[in-house]
Amino acid sequence: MNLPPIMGDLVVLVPVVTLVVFAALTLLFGVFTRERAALGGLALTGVIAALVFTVFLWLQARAGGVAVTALGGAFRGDALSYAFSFIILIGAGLAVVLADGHRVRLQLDQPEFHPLLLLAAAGGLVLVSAGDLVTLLLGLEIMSLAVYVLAAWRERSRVSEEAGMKYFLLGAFASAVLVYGIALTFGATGRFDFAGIAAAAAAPDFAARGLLLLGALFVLVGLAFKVAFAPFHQWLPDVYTGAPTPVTAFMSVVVKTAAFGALLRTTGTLVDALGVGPIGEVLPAVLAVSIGLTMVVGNFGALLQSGVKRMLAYSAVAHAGYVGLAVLAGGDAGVQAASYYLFTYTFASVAAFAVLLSLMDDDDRGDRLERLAGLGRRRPWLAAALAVIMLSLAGFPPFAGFIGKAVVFQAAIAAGHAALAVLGISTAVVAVVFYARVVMTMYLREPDAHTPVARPIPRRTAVVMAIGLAATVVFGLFPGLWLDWIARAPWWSAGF
Amino acid sequence: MNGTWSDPVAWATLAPLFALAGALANGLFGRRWPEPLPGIVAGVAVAAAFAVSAIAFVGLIGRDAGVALTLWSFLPVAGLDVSVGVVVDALSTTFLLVITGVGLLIHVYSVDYMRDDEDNARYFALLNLFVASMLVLVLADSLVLLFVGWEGVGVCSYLLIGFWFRKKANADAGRKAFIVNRIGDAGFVLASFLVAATFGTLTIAEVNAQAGTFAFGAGVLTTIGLLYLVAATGKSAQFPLHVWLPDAMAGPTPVSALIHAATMVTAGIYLIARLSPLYAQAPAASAVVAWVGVLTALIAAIAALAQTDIKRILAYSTISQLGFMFVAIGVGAYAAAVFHVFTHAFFKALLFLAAGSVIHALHGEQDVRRMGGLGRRMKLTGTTALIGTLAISGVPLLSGFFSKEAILGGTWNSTLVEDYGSRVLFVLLLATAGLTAFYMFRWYHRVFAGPSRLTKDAAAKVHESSSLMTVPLVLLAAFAALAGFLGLPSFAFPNWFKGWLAPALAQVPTLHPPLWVEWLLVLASIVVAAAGLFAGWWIYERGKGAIAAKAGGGALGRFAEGGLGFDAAYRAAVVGPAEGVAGGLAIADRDLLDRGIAAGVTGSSLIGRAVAAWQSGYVRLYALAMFLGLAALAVVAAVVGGRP
Amino acid sequence: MYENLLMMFLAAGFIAAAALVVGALLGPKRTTDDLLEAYESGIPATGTARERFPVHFYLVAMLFIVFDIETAFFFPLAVRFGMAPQFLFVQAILFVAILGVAYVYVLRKGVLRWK
Repeated sequence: MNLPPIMGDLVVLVPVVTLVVFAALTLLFGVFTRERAALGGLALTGVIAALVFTVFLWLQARAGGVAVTALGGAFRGDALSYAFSFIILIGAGLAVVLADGHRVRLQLDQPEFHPLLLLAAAGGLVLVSAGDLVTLLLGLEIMSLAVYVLAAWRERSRVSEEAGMKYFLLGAFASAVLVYGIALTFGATGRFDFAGIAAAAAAPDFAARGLLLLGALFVLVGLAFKVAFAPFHQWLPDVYTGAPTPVTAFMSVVVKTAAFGALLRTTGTLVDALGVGPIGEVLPAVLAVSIGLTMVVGNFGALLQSGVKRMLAYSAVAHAGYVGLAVLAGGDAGVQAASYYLFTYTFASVAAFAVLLSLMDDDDRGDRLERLAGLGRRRPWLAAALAVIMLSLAGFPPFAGFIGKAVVFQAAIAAGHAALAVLGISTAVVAVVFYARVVMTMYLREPDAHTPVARPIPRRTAVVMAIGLAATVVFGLFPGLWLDWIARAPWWSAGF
Repeated sequence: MNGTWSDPVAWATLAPLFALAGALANGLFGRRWPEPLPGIVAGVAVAAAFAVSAIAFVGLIGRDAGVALTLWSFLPVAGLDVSVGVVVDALSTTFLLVITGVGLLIHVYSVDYMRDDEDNARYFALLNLFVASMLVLVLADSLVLLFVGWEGVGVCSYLLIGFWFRKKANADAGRKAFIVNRIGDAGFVLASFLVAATFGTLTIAEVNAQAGTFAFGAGVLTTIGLLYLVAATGKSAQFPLHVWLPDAMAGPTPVSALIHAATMVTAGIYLIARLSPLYAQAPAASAVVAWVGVLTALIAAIAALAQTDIKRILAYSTISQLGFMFVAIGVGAYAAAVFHVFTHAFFKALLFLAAGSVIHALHGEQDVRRMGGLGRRMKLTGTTALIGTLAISGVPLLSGFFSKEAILGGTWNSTLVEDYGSRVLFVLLLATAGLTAFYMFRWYHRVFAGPSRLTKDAAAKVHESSSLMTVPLVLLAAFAALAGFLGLPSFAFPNWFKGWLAPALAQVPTLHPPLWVEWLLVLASIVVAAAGLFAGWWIYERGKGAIAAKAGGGALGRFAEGGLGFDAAYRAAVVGPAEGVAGGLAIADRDLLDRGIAAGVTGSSLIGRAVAAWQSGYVRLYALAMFLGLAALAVVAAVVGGRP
Repeated sequence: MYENLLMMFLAAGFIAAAALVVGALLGPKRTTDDLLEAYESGIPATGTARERFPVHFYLVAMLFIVFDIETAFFFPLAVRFGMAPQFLFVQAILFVAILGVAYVYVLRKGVLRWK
């Protein structure tokens, strides 16, 4: 086949294509047979296959030492895209297994469920691999549309329907803003691709810096909505609470990682493009204010919650703020810190939701803190797992959450954002209160007659928990396993 | 200095692992084990840790340098290369021995003390984990690993203080300890970032080495020193973050002993001692350390006068003694500080375990107003408690005398804080030493001596505790009496302890006054201790005697009268004003600080509430918020973007 | 550069407005009840038109829009087909295959089966 040179190295598309193919297969399999039990396995196979391809491509790219592009630069295979694809696929795999363990109870075995998960993951891959703003929008929409539906999955649940609807309406609004921003950026530079935008802005006669700033701000808002930076975070607690818990877990890792991948690439390019001077200072300043607000709102919001799921939702906002510090820091250090944070957060978050799932009622309700009372004695393993996860999320050494916060603060301070890092450290003190409350309830509180007994854990859920726990401990003790690995490749410089 | 596994000293690395293994075994399987087994497993784990510590100690005698061992590369962040490694030197070995040695005795004691508790597997698991965290803390070669232990200690203390969580107050006490400690931890984290930014490393040895190259009194060193001081005040219960420690009495008594004597509160001292070369270069920070210490010592000693709970008196005395150690560290007498940690571990563990023995015998009674005369029924407990009391009071030839004298002498002779009022520090500290003798005499007298104020029922049941509980008491009493001879006043005698620690600590030049001044200092501390004890004796014995003669009558009447008369004498003589001050301090303590913390919490929940109110659930309002955010950005862009 | 676009918008607006204005000015103004009927000479209207329809209508309408609009993708493909005939052919086949999967899915779900 004679390919025009513009097509590039199509092999980088293989992970995405794998996911889409498996989505189609799962869908057809689902509508043609009544064998619902196999759907999860099929979907997992797809994710693992995509993961294997990603790792293979990653290794190859490292050996080659250059970024690979396809479709005229619209799709990139570089250090950022591979690392974040890797994290997304790990998260997706864990979420698929988690959902599979509770599929009958939560009615997740309809034929559409797994294809939508796979498509959302595929969208996430496109998002982090996008080489231009149009592809970025495409990936965002593929991912979002699938997740809108997933969030509303619980039948006959008003909360869930409300969650899906709310997410959709606000998401559409955010997408509109993003499109507007892309249009303005194009208006200012005449280019969609990141490299082109950077080049156009670097030209000595570039005059439309003000317009580019407006476009950059709107693009930032569109993506800030997805990662839930304040004040664009408000959908998150409602949606996380309303969605079926496995979907919440999926969103908290896959959607978040993908959106951060895109945000890192976009802000990195746009901040550089806007250069120094009064105009160049606006974007980092806006980002800094937003991140500061996010850390405050997320942590203080979580403080008041009596539901564990909702507490985790607010804490997801807070964690977005901490990753935001790395985004703000930018550069190689920022990207690496963000990748470590998201990588370890993926394990911790999925494991936390896995434990929560086994404590909630059959209809996926009932997440009140009191339910955990006495868990330390009734189910010591389960309680120990949740305690470690909570301590890690709270940033206690020697668990991965501590290292994550340390590298993020380190990156922020090195980039000259010491004040924001101090704010982060102070809000992390607040975070300890609500995470510790979970631990305390498990160990220091007597169950009463109303405390339900935790159901036996499906083996698959136990596997998810074990993986999450092991990763939290291992990557906490040996953070070099990830940090060394990603630090060895050129990062930002390899992108352009 | 790099060690290998073939060096027996390096085996001390295993100490935390032994304790951790014990914790895991108990935590995961202990529930199914029959009664004494959890305690035995935990005890064996700590004994193993003690054994390797002792091997390290023997191996290190006569060596100058310690042994450093890098285990694995930990955190390769841009420019920073932090490894997980341990340092086994004189300083860490001293702490290892104290932690595992005193810890072991407390474990043994706990086997009996916690016999009837249904949760004793959880108890021993946490106890072991506590010891393991503390061992990590003292062995750490980098500030990152030290922080691992630091936080581990915090978490364990929180769970142990709240151990008997069925009472809400206990759980609250645990939470209070935790939150106050976190304030200190924020200081630790900030300091560490500053260290990383300044020195480009977090390895303690390198930080210390580089600190020496800075100008004496450099601003950045002072800032780092002050931030670590914030951390240390949280962990070591120094003013104004000391409020958690008296409440921490809610935990089982052996836990109090462990927290107060061997672990946790000494972590702050250890941290600063570890960084002594840095502090030796930062006189301003050191002066703040010393002044915080002396204020704490004085305030806590006065507060101790007005307490009626057998354990709270001891808790305030711990805070006060920690103040002494802070002063020592602040004035540059690092060896004296560690020596006081060492001796204090023995007599404070002894006092707490004796208190536990009393509480055990009285089935949970903790109010000293309903005790008295117990020494006659519990001879061993009473005698050992008396040794502890005399030791902490600074009676010559007992351990507390030597360590306190070293601190007082070090303060008087300090060059480091000479410009920051070292002589005033000395006077205040001397007064505190007198108060210490006084309130400790009161404690002893109200519990063990004088007439019995027990109800008849309770009195009938009083019994000496079992040998599992008394043997640790006797051993600790022996150490409390004799340990001081390791550190005789260095101006006239060989001071083995100082020489042993010398390679591990910074050496700060001291003044060398004439010998008669030094002797005068020793005499002063003897006189002050004697005065305190005499005042106690005069008020308690004489007050009681006079009242007793006047009242006559039945035993019960005499008891009531004696109690009242005692209180009257107490008010009239010394404690009237002191109690006023103490009451005022208690109010300050409870109202200002507690309310401050409460206000902090309330403020936090107000912010939380505001966040929640914003979270109305109406999608249109969310969209409005997004729109407003967007509009604000557009305005910003228009204003800024309009300019070239 | 954007003046032409602006002119086009203005022209379109002008034509639309003009049609309305001219009609209102020039048209005869006779109204009877019969003439005001929504469907003159049709079935007499009963009730309001704003009532609930079976959701099935929406599904069919949505499917129409989805498949109809997706075929619009073929137009640019046809225009630039000469650029890389084989590659674009494969791409078109893939596109049809994806539509085919969707079609099979719709069929199996029984959306096209009318009650």
